[in-house]
Amino acid sequence: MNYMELLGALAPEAIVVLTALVALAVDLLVLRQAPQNARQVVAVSITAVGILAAIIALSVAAPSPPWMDGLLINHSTTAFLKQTLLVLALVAGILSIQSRFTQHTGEYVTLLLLSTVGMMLLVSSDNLLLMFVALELTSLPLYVLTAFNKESPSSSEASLKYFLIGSLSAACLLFGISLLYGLSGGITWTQLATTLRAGSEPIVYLALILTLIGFAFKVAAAPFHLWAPDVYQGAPTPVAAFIASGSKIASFYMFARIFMAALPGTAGSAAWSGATPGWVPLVAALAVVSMILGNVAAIAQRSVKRLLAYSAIGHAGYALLAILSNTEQGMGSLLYYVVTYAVTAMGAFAVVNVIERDVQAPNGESLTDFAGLSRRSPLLSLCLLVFVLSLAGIPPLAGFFGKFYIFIATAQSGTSQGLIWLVMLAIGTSAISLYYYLQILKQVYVVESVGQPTPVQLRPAESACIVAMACTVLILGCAPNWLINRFSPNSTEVRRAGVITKPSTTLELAAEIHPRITAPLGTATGLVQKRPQFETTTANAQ
Amino acid sequence: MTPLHYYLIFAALLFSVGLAGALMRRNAILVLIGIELMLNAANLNFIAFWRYSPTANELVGLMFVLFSIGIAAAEAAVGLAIIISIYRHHRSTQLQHVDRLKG
Amino acid sequence: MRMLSDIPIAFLMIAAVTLVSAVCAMSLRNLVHCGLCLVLTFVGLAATYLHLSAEFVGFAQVLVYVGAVAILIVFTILLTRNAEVTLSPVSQSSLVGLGIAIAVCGSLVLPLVTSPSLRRLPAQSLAPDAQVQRIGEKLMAQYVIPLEALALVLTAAMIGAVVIAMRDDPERNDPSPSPQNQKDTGSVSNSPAGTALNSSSSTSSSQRP
Repeated sequence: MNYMELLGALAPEAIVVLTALVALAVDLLVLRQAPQNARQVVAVSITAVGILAAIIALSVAAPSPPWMDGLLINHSTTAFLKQTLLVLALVAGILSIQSRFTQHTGEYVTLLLLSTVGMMLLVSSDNLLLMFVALELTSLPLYVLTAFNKESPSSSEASLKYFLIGSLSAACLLFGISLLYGLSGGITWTQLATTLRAGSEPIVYLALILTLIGFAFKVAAAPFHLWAPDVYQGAPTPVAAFIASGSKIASFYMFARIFMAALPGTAGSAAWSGATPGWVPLVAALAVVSMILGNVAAIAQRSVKRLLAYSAIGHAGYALLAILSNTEQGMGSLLYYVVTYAVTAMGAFAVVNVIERDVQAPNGESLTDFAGLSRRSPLLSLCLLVFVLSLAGIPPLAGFFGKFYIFIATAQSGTSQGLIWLVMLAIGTSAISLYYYLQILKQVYVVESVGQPTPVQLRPAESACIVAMACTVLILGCAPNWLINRFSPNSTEVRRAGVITKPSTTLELAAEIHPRITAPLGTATGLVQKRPQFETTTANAQ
Repeated sequence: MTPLHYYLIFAALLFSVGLAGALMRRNAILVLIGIELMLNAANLNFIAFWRYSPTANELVGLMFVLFSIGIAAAEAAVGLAIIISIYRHHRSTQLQHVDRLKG
Repeated sequence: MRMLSDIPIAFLMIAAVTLVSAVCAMSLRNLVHCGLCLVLTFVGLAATYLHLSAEFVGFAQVLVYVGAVAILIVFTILLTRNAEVTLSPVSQSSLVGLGIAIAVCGSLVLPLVTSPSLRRLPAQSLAPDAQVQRIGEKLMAQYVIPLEALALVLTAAMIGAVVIAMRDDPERNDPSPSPQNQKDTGSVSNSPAGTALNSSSSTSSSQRP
């Protein structure tokens, strides 16, 4: 290994870090006297350039074998997820232009990008150490960004709750990881997967529970969701949008990978008759509570951001179904679901951001602020219609196919359709969720606004973002195969090895699997060396 | 020498004390202290498992603790800054006084 | 029969002191006393690490936890005027918390006591080779990516802590919040953060290989 190759493998992350530092330096050194608006535009422009460069770097990067005894892994799925995360971060940056929640524009952009780097490393991390550090790199800037509106007591209160509950679950996660390390003797996922078996020691289940608590917090699954409504409401809206979208993608992917790839021996079963202990029944319990609590509590909400938070908890419940199906099909459906959900949630928050600025609401906007929106801004309400119907799961939007694939994957997994009860429950709670989604649309399209309807002020960049996201939701719904095929592998060994790719040939597939199994064991990686594009990297890894 | 499970029980007790404090006390600073104790308990687990593992020369557990100490310091700094900003708004760090967001 | 020499007296003493001070740190009324008990707990843990022949980690524990974290906590206690004794009533939720903690404690300790594989003695009676030089080599080779990530965590924490904790507008001493827009006061108040932040960015970029 030498550092230049390492830099090559981490080029996208390095570009984003450099962008963050450049944006900070320009803002603090050059633009200190400039008006706030100019500083925001410059900072976001720098961000846009850097993110574009990182996206290009990701698309040209060759998949690398695992680095350094399985510390880091790059393949086509991680590259796609990282590109999605980068786009979401850029949208969060664009949404914050002209918003008045902070005067520290440079720091805002820097922390946003550092959190994005954390998510990118989280997606790529292949062992417990890098995973934990990346998780903290994701979370710490988000705690800070939540508190960025220093004029608002709600913002700091939301940040305190987010921080305290977040660090509590991080401490549980670290304790769980320490037990996993002690029981398996290693921290790479290959070592965990080969040593940990269900039923060998009762302490294994404790380690599983503690690890699960850490991730359940990150994805806001009930009963570890308590921070989510407060953070969504109290945080500045662009930050809340990023927490609801970007951090969800990275956390769900890592959640699924650690349990599917690193702990397959302790899965157990959640079948209605004949459940066996393991992490699958635990995830099933989280999913049941999340689906019911999220969708029922959302009905009572008056604030749209809180409503979106409870809806996010319900959606986390559906996504957990994909994890507990514990198949490669489940992984594919999970990724399709979280990516489309993230785009939809970001879009919904973008609309909320516009309304919030329009009504000048200091402490979150209420449902009634959306009254008569269809007459005030037909474009905005049409986009909101797309987002809300996609969240509700109405065909032909992306949200429908997300749920559809997850339900199929869950129903087909397990022996003799033992998980069908979960799918029935999910369909039932989806029906409940229609009620509160239609409440939003009723305000937008049916209820008259108070007084004379005035057109909503929209900025070009912002409306372009919102329209682009609405189109994405529509296109992914009309042509779901494009995305789902990216995530669907065609070999069970791939899932066992934790690699989800779409290899074109068998040889390429073998080359993808091979280094993962052999490199940590220290045996010769002969097959890999036959592949020209891996030759240089593996030679150094040895 | 001391058997391994002595250390693990020590760590488990420390974790429980921290958890009890974090869940019971109503002051944000004390909750933070409880969380620090929980992180330290995890570190103790790592060191004990490392010392008793057959591959101790790989230094895996030791490395994990070094990283975890660094992260705990960062977390404490951010947490205390948030607590100061809470105090600025609410003139209190008692959690029952910080309850504007509800629903 | 167990010999007297089999009883790990040093370990038991360190553990007892550490646990008692941890309980005190979580239960005393005066927050400053809690902070000082926390220091004792951290020192006890450092002693345990030395006992387990992890010298470097023991000294890092003293430097970081005792020297930085505990001091930071005491500073915050004093800054937020929490030094006065505050009586917090035992509420129902705190009893629930106690129940959860006791349940967690029981479910953690019981499997540890019964599990046979965890009763083992060290694989090697000599201390493992944990020289500072080897730790450094590992950090710069095998663990260089997490090290970089940790540098970013510390950078983010410092930027974040400075932004949140600093007062935006020196003239405004009124603690009562108001949701008014404060758009163009950045020029004055940015300066203390600016100097600190520039040094942070230069250190983190120099750590990049």
